[in-house]
Amino acid sequence: MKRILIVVALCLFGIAGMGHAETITVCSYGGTYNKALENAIAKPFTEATGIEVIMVSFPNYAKMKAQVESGNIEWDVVEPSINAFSLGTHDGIFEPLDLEGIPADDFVKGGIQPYGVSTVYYSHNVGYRTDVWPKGQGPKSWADVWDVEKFPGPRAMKYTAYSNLEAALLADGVPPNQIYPIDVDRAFKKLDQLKPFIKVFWKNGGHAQQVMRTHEADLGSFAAGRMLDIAKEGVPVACEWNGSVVDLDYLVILKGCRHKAAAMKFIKFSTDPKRQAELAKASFYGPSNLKAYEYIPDDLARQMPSYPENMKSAVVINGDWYREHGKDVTARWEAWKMQ
Amino acid sequence: MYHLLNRFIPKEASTRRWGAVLLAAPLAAYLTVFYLVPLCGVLLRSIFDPGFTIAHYTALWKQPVYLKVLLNTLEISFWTTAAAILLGYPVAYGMTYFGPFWRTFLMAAVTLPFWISVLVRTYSWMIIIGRFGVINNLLQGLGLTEAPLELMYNRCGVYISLTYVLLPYAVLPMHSVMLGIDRSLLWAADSSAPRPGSACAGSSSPSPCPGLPWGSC
Repeated sequence: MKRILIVVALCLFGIAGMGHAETITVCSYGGTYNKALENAIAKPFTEATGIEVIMVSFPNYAKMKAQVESGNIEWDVVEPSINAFSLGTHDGIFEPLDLEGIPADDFVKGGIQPYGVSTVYYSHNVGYRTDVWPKGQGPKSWADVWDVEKFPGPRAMKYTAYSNLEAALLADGVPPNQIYPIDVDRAFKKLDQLKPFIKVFWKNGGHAQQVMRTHEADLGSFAAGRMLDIAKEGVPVACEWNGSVVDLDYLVILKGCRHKAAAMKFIKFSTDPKRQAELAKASFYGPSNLKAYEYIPDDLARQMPSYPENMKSAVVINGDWYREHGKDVTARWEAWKMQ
Repeated sequence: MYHLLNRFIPKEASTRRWGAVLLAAPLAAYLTVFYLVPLCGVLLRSIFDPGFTIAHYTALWKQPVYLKVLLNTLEISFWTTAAAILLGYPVAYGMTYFGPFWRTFLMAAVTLPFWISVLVRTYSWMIIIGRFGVINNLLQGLGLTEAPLELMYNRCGVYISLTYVLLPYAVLPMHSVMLGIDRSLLWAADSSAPRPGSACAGSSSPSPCPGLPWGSC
């Protein structure tokens, strides 16, 4: 009897194994953004191809590099932002992509590269609680965020040097088109002024949402998409588009990936303007395929980083500058945070 | 080897010893494969990246930020360990002292948090000590403070939550060692002590010491 049971169990195991479709793992930023990516791209992708998608977070550069070096690739498609993308391209940890059939001209400048296909523009905006200052009367620029007399209250900023160095220079009066190469000393001098008023260095979009939801801070630097997302739920927050510091996310395949063909299919699938529009509508981030704006209502499009009007005063993070100076700047930034 | 050992150790004791080795073997094998080997890999990498170099270790001293991180770690571990032992000692002692009802109650209170995820527990603390959390709302509601106290996103929050998370690890080993102390020793000490209570400080305090390293790990 026991032996029969074992045989039956083995057969069932075999059948289950045979019916198991190919599965890829996609690593992105978690929280509401992963949800948006899942609904807008991953689910329709599974319906169209039968390839299952597992969504995970968080695309940490050290983890990407460790996976490539150990040859144990857990993430088939990864979504680094521009700095990690630039570094990874330089370090040679990505597979070259098959770009055939992708309409590169429809994309933002630099949106389609040999090793990466862009998804969304993500932005760092001036944001504040509208129960502290009514909408329209809050801080309107980085200079206002630095003005602790006019706008007192605890600040929340991102935990990285990038985006904050740019914000500091904008606050100090540097025009958006003259930020690079960054005058690091000048940026840190300006950051020194704000340091005593920074209460939280948020670590990811979900954390930033939680900080504003529980009102741990009154104002600071936030991803507009994440703020719009909680504003929809009734949290009193608003963002300004003046001086947004913009970052571009890319989809990449790590070198040595075991499901390369399926991963490539996923990346190609994501470039479709309609799907990009769905992703943008669900995440409030700006589509990198500008054709997607044809499918996004205008009032919503105005709230997105790649909307032409919003790009006028924006600073696009320069991945190449960070590839060269990122290591030194990060060491200085970490020491500065602990002072 | 076995026969050699047999000469020195009485038969019964030697089988018991081999039994203990066999029992520990799976754990030792597991730790070797999943802990020691990767750890050695990391250590080797620290001196062979790219070729043989000690640059990574000199960087440790040259960059003040690393030393600062190390000092912060030591400082935080010292104070949280001290707090966990100070707060845990009375609980561990109480669990040996009280009757079955309170002993079960205390044991449940200490072990219950183990069943809840660290994430949920940490989040609960954020609700309690946040800027508009339970404590600040209570203090301001009672008119004791005018502005919210800064209890979180600073050292204070780290100490509170780490001490809380580590408390069971301090209480349980201390309690198990205390259980092994013969209570009649305390009675004997009490009867010969100059006044009741002073015996506790002198005679019971040193004994649970073997439990402390486990508590502070």
